[in-house]
Amino acid sequence: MPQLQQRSDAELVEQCNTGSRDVAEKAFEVLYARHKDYVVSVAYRYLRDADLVLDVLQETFTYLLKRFPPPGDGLTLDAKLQTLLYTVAKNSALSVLRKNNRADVASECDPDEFPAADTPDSEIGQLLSGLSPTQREIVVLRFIDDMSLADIAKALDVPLGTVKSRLHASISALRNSPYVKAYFNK
Amino acid sequence: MKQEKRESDELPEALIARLKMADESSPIITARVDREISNLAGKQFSSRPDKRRAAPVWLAVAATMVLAVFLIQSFERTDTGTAELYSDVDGSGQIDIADVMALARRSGHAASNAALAAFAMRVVSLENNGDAS
Repeated sequence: MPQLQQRSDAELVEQCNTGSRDVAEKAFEVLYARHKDYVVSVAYRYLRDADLVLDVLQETFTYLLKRFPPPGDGLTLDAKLQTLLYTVAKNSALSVLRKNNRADVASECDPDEFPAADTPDSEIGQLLSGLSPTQREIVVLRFIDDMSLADIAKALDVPLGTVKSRLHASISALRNSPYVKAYFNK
Repeated sequence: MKQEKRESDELPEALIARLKMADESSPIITARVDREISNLAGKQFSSRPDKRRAAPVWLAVAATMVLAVFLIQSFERTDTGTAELYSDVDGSGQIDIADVMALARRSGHAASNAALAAFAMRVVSLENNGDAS
């Protein structure tokens, strides 16, 4: 369905909201194909078990599906779809952690904070060591997920000014980090 | 000062590239998961009307009329003779849009575009009133 694949996320969401059975199904499939890898990458930051990651993938898109009528009321995007998917995937991953008795990790994870699942052993953990979980999350969203500051604010449900100040503090900390400061001096 | 503030809100490109590489996830999305999601979508939207049934009858009739006019364009005609209009051209036992189409296809008919369009309009009117026979 080349035509649907060229549509924006907002247009595809609208097709899912109001389209006929066939069109809505195909529109949703395009959205799924377009964003499934991103949802997996978000889940993988929290969970290292492939099966659990795929559970999060399924839960995330099931949540999205149920927003469409019936019985859902329909989905209105007030930010990029990626922003919504990030929030849902993150919460789903934390829920999976709790369900699988990873209370030690999940309890460290205030829903507003980036989890310790990204351990110092991981490369990202090492590169971003010295940052608080909150700072690490903002850096990841900004520079790995290429989210705008406004979308980050929506995803984290904090004011835009807070995102800016946290980002500024994060980068200042990274400038002094022994793992990455050399990048700033090049 | 403002320039410095802007620069300090960005990371070096090389560091960004390294972070992105480090973030590459390894779990493979299996075909089973893809199918399950697809099946869920099928169930979710199953109560929606089928696209073919969703079009109202009047729209189908209007589309047929447009097609009839289009077919008519390919025939030579004069603006005389309307004996076959408003008649059961195809012998189906009732006067309907099929008769308009049959007349349009028949070569050598003498009805004009306007007359055929009027025939079609009358048929629609009859059908809407339940009077087609």
